[in-house]
Amino acid sequence: MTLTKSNVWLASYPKSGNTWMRIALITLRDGGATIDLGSMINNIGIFLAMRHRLDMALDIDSSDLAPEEVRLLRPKIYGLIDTQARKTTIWKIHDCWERTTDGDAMFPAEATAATIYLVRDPRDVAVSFAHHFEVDMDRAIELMADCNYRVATKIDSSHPHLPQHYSSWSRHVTSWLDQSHLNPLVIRYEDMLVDFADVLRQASATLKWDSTEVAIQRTVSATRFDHLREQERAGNFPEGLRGDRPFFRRGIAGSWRDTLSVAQIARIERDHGEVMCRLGYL
Amino acid sequence: MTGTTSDLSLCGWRVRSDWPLPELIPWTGEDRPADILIHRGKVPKELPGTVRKNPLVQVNEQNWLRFTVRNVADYLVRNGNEVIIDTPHSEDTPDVTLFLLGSVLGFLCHQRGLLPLHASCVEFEGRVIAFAGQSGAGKSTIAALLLSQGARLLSDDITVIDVHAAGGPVMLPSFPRQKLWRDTIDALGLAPGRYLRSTVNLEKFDRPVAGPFDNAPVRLDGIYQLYPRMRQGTLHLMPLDNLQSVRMLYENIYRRTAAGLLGLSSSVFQNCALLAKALPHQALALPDGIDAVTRLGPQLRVMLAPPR
Repeated sequence: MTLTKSNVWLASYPKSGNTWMRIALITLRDGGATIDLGSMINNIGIFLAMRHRLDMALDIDSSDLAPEEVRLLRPKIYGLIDTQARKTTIWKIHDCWERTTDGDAMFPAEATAATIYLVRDPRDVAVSFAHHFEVDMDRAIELMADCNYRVATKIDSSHPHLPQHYSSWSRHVTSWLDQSHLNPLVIRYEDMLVDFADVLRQASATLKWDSTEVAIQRTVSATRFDHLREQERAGNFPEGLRGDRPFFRRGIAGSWRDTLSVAQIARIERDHGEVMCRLGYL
Repeated sequence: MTGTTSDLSLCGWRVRSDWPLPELIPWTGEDRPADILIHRGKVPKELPGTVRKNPLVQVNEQNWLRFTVRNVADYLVRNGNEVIIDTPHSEDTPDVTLFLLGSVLGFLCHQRGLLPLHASCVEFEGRVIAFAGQSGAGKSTIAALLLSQGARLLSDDITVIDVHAAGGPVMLPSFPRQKLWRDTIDALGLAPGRYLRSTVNLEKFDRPVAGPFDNAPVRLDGIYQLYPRMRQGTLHLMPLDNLQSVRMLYENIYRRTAAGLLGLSSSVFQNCALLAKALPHQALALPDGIDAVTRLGPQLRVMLAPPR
């Protein structure tokens, strides 16, 4: 089977602005009109690790396979998934970039149209991560330092997502930036907060969209954090969290300063200092 | 090809298999040639005359289909009446049977012009109802929950439907087994049965369902599409209109990609449209989590009462 360069990887470690960017790209493609979050069903930001996509593409129940078997099959689905016959599909991804034991790239260059990599200060990621996954802060920090950190790997119950390898925050960043050879557009969450219009211009150019300045400005306005939070409060966000916890929580940079202890900050900076320096976080 | 007493029954077909299939009930029907032969043999790596393929499936110009499950077996499915199994494993390896009674059964159905739905089906309080949904949607769990309330299992995971049967669509009961995860087994207090996989580590079980089982076709009364309702603690039922029903059925066609490779996409779609017209379809949203689902047994019973 010949692969076509029809896939855009929108990759990030969790809690780094991926959902916000997906919503913005959907909005931008539609010219900047406010979108209904309740109907985010199109081919932008489809979560690549949804189990049923692999099952449907390969005619097998991945839930009858062990995680290591599923892993070998994951690179085989590109070009097979029905994505409403659009030319390119933007996939939301939280996996690190790597090869399977067969040597296949999980996200192969032959199938890649473009790559956008979102990154966020790991001290803020830790705060958001603990809230999202309902773990205490020290546990969140520990998981972010674990190169073997994998999710959806249970073998005693079903999960709608396929097993994924997040790795550590630092390894996640370097896997996409250095090892993938996919030449990603790197976008910092903090820059999305400061000048979202400029970020969208860069993304639009990477995607080879001819977005107008009017559409970009309308998108910035339509996807302001308070708008998204308002829609979630009104019950119109299908990807929300369990319980009363908001998905769109604070949407700011630097919340770690009033949340993390001195020891926790030191641990994150020790674990990830080198990559933090490289990205301008230290 | 008549007369042996070791023949088996699957969906009303007479099956002769040299691969042991204790999952199936014995054939007790008329003395006639076998409808389906299953045997071990050599399956070529590349199916001669392959015209369409994806990474696990090859289809050739005669519409023979080769399916491979790495480290388990290669299967050749042809003419809707023969399956050849090529495996290095011994006959007590459940992994080979799992994909035979899963994907391969789906391929056979497509070759035979039947509609396999990704659904479990029970007879409950006089009605025959199927629960369709993707992997993990809760099909087997709902069926197991209803079995504990007196329902009779007709199929698990795959529901084979004859849309063109005289008098309206019927389902063809398959075999009295369920595939259940450890967490469902524990939540419902069931005995696990045997592991579905022995070559890898997976806590998923093949559980025999007690009671009489009959392969005679039965009229379908309704289909429920299951979907998880995140963040909600209750069940929610919603009728689907004709268009929604067609779409729901099409999305739940079992092994739909292979049907496309076999050149059957349009007939599958037409069968969905016929089925959508013939039966009431509803969407049933389940709460998140196995414990929440099992607590809702009594509410489920009320909801599944026949529509007035």
